[in-house]
Amino acid sequence: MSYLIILYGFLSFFASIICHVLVWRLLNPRSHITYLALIFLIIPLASYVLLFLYGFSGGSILSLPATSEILGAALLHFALAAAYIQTYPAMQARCPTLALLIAIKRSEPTGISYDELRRSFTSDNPINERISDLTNSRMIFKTGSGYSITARGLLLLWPLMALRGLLGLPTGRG
Amino acid sequence: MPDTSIILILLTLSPVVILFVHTMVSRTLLSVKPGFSNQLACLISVAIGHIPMGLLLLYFAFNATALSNEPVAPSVIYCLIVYNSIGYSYFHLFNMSETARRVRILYEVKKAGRLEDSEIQSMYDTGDMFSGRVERLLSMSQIREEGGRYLLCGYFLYIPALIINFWGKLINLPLLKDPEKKK
Repeated sequence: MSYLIILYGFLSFFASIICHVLVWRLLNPRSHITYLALIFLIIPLASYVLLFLYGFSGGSILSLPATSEILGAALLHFALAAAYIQTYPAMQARCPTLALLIAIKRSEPTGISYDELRRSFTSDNPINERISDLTNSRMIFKTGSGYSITARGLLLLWPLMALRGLLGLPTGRG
Repeated sequence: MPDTSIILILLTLSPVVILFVHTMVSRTLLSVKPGFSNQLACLISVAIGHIPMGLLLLYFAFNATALSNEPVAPSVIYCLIVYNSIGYSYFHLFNMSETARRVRILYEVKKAGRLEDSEIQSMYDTGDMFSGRVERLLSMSQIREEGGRYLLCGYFLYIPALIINFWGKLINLPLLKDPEKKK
């Protein structure tokens, strides 16, 4: 294994990052999940499959050796992409825990009281935003004045419930 | 040289190793030290996971024959980056099951079959959500309380918070709520 694998893995990841920044600033897409999957997973996957097939047929691009070395760069790309995609909801959802930390740090050296923090935390309605996110991403759908879960929602929920069951933990307190 | 194919196979299987270690750690802590931070337990599991992964890689990919010809540093660096990226993703996946409101709403809607908007709203007392988050930060030693006021005492989550805040501005998303400006 050479440093080139690491270099190419990072290069393809940064190419995805640049596309992501450009698309978000220029197009401001509504369905974030679809565009993230396209930019970080589907397009890179297609590119790596083409590279792999090219390498498999005996070709070599940009000094990158064929087959397992290409798979190595691809695995690095997808590991980094997964880490990024997992971080993304914290930005999209204005993660309150992170906002609390920033508020506490900014209050130094005197610190901030429970009531002051709580006031800033309750100044908008995060539940409406979450319901809207779930509806836009088709995890739940509106039935009259209520909501029901979709197959896509179940697809997200089941693995998480199974994980917590395996760990012996009750439902999260989100 | 270290066998690249074996390295890739083992790294692809690393989530299974992390899950196994996490299950052991979580179930042990539940019986030995109930109340221990679930997130901290997850982070500890990912850290401990370096040991079995390292041993597996050492045995199957970095054996004496393999090390004879080629420098091992690129392979080690590669393994560390990929394993820790996967570990980081795993932590976030677990954290989503622990704290994400979207996941809890999905769970409650599934459990009830159908929920009215007002029923979802009533599940949440934003004060309760707030105190839960403060408790978690205290139990993770990221903040401390002094004379009824909270101060930062750990940078493990604060630094990611700053990075995420900065990155949020760059990709033109609504910024993290700034509690001070809302007063």
